Amino acid sequence: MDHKVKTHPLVEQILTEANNAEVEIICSKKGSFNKRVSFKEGKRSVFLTHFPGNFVKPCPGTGKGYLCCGYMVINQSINCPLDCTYCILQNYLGPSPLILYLNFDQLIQQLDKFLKKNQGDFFRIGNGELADSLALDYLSNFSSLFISYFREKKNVVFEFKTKTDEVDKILQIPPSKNIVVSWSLNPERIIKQEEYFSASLEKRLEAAYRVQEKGYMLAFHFDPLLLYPEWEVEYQKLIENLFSLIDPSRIFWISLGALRFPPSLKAVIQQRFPQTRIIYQEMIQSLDGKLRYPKPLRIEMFKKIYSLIKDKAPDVFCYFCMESPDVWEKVMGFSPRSNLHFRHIFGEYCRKILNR
Amino acid sequence: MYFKAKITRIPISFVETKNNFFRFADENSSCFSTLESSIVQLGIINPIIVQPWQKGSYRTVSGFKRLRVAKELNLASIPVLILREDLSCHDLLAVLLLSHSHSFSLTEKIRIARIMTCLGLSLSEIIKEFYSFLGIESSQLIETYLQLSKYSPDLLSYISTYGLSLKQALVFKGLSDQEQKLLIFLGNSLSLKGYDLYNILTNLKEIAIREEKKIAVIIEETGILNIEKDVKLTRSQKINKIKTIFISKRYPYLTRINKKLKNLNKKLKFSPNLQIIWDRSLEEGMKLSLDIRHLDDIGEAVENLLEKGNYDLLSQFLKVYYEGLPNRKDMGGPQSKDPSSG
Repeated sequence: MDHKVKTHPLVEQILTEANNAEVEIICSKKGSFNKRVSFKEGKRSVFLTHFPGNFVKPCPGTGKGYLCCGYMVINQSINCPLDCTYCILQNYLGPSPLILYLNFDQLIQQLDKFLKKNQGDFFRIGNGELADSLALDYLSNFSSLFISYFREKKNVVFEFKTKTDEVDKILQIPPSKNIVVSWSLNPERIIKQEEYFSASLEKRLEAAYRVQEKGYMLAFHFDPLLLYPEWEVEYQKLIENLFSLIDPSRIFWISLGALRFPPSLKAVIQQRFPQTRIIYQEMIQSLDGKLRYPKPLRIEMFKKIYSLIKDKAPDVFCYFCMESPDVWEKVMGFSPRSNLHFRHIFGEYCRKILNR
Repeated sequence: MYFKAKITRIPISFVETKNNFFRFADENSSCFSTLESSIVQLGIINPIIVQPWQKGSYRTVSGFKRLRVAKELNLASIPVLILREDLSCHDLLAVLLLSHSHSFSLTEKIRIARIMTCLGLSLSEIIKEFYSFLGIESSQLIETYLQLSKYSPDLLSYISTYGLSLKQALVFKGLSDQEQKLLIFLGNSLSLKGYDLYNILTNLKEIAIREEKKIAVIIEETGILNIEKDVKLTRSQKINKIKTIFISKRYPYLTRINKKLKNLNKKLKFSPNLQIIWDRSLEEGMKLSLDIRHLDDIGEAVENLLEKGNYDLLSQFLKVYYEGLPNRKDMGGPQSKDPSSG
C-alpha cells in the first residue's frame, strides 16, 4: 500500500478480509505503482492508494464511424483479477497490480460537483470500465458506498458490471430502482476457454437471479460476441438459459458488441494465451483502426442474437456498443442519428423505466 | 596462458574428426571451394586449435572447415595450437570466441549458446562473461537461442543459408519434425527468402489453429507441393501461387472483395485517372476514387460512366464532385432556392 493511505479506515477492513496477505508499504507518486510486475504477479497483488485526479470521466468510446452511448465511467478500481484472453486492459494498462483508490470522499465531492453542474441531464454511470465492478467487492465493499450515494440521485442510473458471482455484499443492501447489476455473458465453452478466473455461466445466472429476487434491476452484455463454429447453437442455448431464470421485466438493457481490438493486442494475446483461437478468425482493420469481423459476418451474428433476445424479451432496450449506423439499421431497423441522439434516446428510456 | 606451446605441426590422423562439440560456424559449399584453393596455394595459414583428448588424440576446438579441406586434400600434417587440458569452461569459450574474427550470425549465436549451456555455464554467467562477444544482454534472449538450438541441423542450416532474422526463425517454434522437413523442402526447392517463408508459415499456422488441423494436413489439402513440382511455372509464379492460396484461405472475405474489385475495374476499363477502390472505412462497399487534374477529365469521367451504363457510380461521382465544389448554391445545393437550377 501507499504510505499515504496506511491510516485510512478502509485499510483495516481490507486487510482483515485479505487474511494472510503480505503487506508492503511503498512511497508512490500521484498514486501510481512504481514497481515492475509481470501479468501474473499483477493479477495477484492489490495496491491500495489515493488518486489525486478526476475519477469521473466520459467513456472513451471509439473513433468515428461507430456510435457510442455517452456512458460515464468512474475509475476507482483499476485492473481486474480475472484474465480474459481478449481483454483490452492487457494493452491499455500492461502488466500492473490491481489498484484500489481509497479516497472515496474526494470521489463523492467530484460527483456532487459534476451532477450539480449537469442537473437537467440524465446519466448512466458505471465503474466496470477499467476493472470488474464486483471482483474485489469482498475486500473493498465499494458497492455499498456507491449504492448509498447513488440511490438518492434521480437523474442517474448506476451500473455494476461483472463476470463474477460476488454479490453477497450487494444482497445485504436494500435495492434501489436506479442501481443496476449487469453481467457480461458468453457460452460456457467461451467462459472456460477465454475468460479465466471468471464465474461459470451457471454461477453468473444464479447470482443474477439472487440479485433480481432481492429487487435490483439487471442488465446483460453480450459482448464480446465471438465467432466460432458452434456459435449459433451455443448463443441460442445461452439465451434460453438466461430467460429461463430471469424475468425480462427486471432487465434494464441488453447490449451487443462483436469482438474488436487494436492490432497491437494480437501479439500480447498470442504471447500470453498461445492456445486461444479467437484471434485467428478473419478480421479486418476498420475505420477506428480496430480489428473486427467483416461487417456481413457481424450483421449475420447480430441479427440472429437480437431476434432470439427479442423473442423472449420484446420490450427490453437493446443497443450496440461501438457499431456503425448501417449495422443498427440492418439489424434493429433504426439507428440513432448521432452519439448525442443515442445518449438522448437511452436517457429517455431510462427515465421512463424509473418512473414506471 | 591458454596454450601448451607455440604453433606446432602434428599428423592429421591424430585429430579426432567425429567430435563436433565446438562446431558452431555456418557452412556452405562456396566457402569450402574458396578455402580449398587458398590452402592449395598457401597452405593452412591460421593454425587449427585443438585440445588433447582421449588416448593421445586431439579434439578440434576451432578450425573444422580447415581440417575438413586438409583431409580432402590428403595433407599428412597440419599446423595446430594445442590448448592446455585443464582449461576452465570460461577459458575454452574465450578461446573459441576469440579465434573468430567476424561477427556472429544468428545461427552461430544459437550454436554457441548451446555449447555454453552444455559446458555447464548458467545464464547469468553467460551474460556476465560473454555478452560483449555475442551482443546478448538479456537472459531472455539466451533462453530464446536455447529454444532455437533444439531445431534440427537442417532447419538451422536453412536459417543460415537464407539469412532469417530472429523473428522469422522463431516462427518455426512448435513445429513437428515432419512439418519442419516439409517447410525446409519447400523453402529450399523454391529458394524462399526468409520474409516469404515467414509470411507463408505465419498464415499456415493461423489457418491450422483456426481449423484445428495439423500444418502437414493443410499443406497436403492445399496441394502446394504439387505447385512446386509444376514445370510450366517459373519460380516466382510458383511462389506467388502458393502465397495466394494461403492468403485466400486465411482471409477469404478480403480475397472475395479484391476479386470483385479486380473484375469491376477490368469490366469498366476506366482511363487511368478513374479507379474503383475498396475503402476499408466502408468495411464492405466499393468507392469511386477520382484523380481529376484537368477540367476536361470531368466530362470524360461522366461520359465514361454513361457509356458503361453504370448509373450508381455516375451518381456517386456527381455527388463527390458536387460536394467538393467551393460554391454549391450555383449547383442547386442546399442553399439554393430551386434545387433543379443546377
